Amino acid sequence: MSLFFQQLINGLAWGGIYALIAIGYTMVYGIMQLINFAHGDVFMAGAFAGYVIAQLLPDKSSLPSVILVFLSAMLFSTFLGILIERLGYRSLWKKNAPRLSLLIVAVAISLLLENVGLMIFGAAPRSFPSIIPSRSFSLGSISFTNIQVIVILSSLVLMVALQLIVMRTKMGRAMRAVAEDSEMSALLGIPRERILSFTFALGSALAGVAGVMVAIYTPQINPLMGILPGLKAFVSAVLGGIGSIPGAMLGGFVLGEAETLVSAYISSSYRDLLAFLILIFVLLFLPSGLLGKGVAEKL
Amino acid sequence: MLKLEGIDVYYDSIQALRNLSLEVREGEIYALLGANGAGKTTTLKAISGLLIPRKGRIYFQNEDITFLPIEERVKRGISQVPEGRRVFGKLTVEENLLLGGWTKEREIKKNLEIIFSLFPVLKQRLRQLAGTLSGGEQQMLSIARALMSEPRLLLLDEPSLGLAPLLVRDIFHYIREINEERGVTILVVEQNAHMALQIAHRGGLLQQGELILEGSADELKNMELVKSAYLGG
Repeated sequence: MSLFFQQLINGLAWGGIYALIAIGYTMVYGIMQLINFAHGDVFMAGAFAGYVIAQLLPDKSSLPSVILVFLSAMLFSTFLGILIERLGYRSLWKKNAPRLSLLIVAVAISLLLENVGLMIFGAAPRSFPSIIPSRSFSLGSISFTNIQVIVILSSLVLMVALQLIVMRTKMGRAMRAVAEDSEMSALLGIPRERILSFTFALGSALAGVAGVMVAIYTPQINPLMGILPGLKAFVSAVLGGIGSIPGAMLGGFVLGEAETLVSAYISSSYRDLLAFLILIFVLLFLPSGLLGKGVAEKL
Repeated sequence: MLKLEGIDVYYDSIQALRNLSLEVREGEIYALLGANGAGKTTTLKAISGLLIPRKGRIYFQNEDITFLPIEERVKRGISQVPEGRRVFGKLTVEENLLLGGWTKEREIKKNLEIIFSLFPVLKQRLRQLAGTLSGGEQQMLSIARALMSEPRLLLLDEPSLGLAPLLVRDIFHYIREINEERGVTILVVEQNAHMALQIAHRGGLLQQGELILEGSADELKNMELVKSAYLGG
């Protein structure tokens, strides 16, 4: 039984990370019905931005340094996300281009980012400076690290903050309106392009933070590190019901837990397989996901 | 106030409007009549900017707006209430109204008061999701939302569609009130020619993308073509 609870804790940390990335997928999908496959690479870019800044800091493990590393990762991925939207997607979106064209652009941008990463940093994994020295605690027979606690708590805080932005602010309100009926939003004078930029900015900021979290947690990074978590976060978004923000959060945690339970009780070599089994299962039997809005798409 | 000069509008290769010229005067209610597919909605879409004409010009308050982006036209005072109401069903009534005031943020409070005096029922429904309103309430909300941008010209597309006869009367009563008391010029597209001509000052008849008749509401009511085709004898 204690193994079970131990695994739950481990699963929560990965779940929080998947959830943070999945939110970006689901928000962009809600507005432009695009699976932004470059999103996983924005997550990677966030980790590297944090890495570069951490290298420059003299006192890496002081609190201001830690905050600075997270902030710079967030800022850099936000900037990158806006840039991707602006240069990659916007003109196609405005022309009502077929979704497939957008998807192809997404894959191209993903490959571009990965290869630029390889050019600059090389393929060999780099170890991430330990800006938060790991310490273990135990509660009865369950042990956990301070890093796990930080990852879990900060992902929760960020999700609450995001929910507040989406549900309580003017921009959030406009995001929901554009997602529901983009043409009608325009008829009210809502600047759709600006809303789209804002959506990319929010999603990318969360992915950037998730990038640094993974970098601290694992603790190594490489330019292809975004591929697998990106795909898994995509699975989380589909599992929760693509387009639904609470769904993406739930999907992330469910996947995180399922993965760690599978690696604990069956075999860790099946860990990565699970996400894709879930994807196939959801697409076949539960296409609108756990919290999705039903199969009926708006016309 | 609004002038269309010889516009041609296409959907891909299909021509929907042919050399359409039309003028809506300040302060009036203009009823654009016609059968299904005559080009009524297309005309509204060209005015609000959802469609751009291939030929011709559109002037609003003596300025050429033919190629202006949709949002810019809203800022200048053109507001469209599209067919089928199109309220944001997953947002609350209040959120719908606030979004309507996007371009007139400073006036939101004042405009909400005006809306509540016009449609008191909306005030009781503020926290409710718009998707749970009845059809008539959704139509009111859709019009109210458009009014939040303080339009000088309101484009109404089939406001009576799908509403019970009693509600239709209410909605037309509101439209007249908006015109008379708020001084908003109105261009209304309707299949229900009978109701439309009761409140309109002037009107026109579209057929296959061309304006084939124009005149005062009384003149139109007595024309044989309008009578036989649209007023049921």
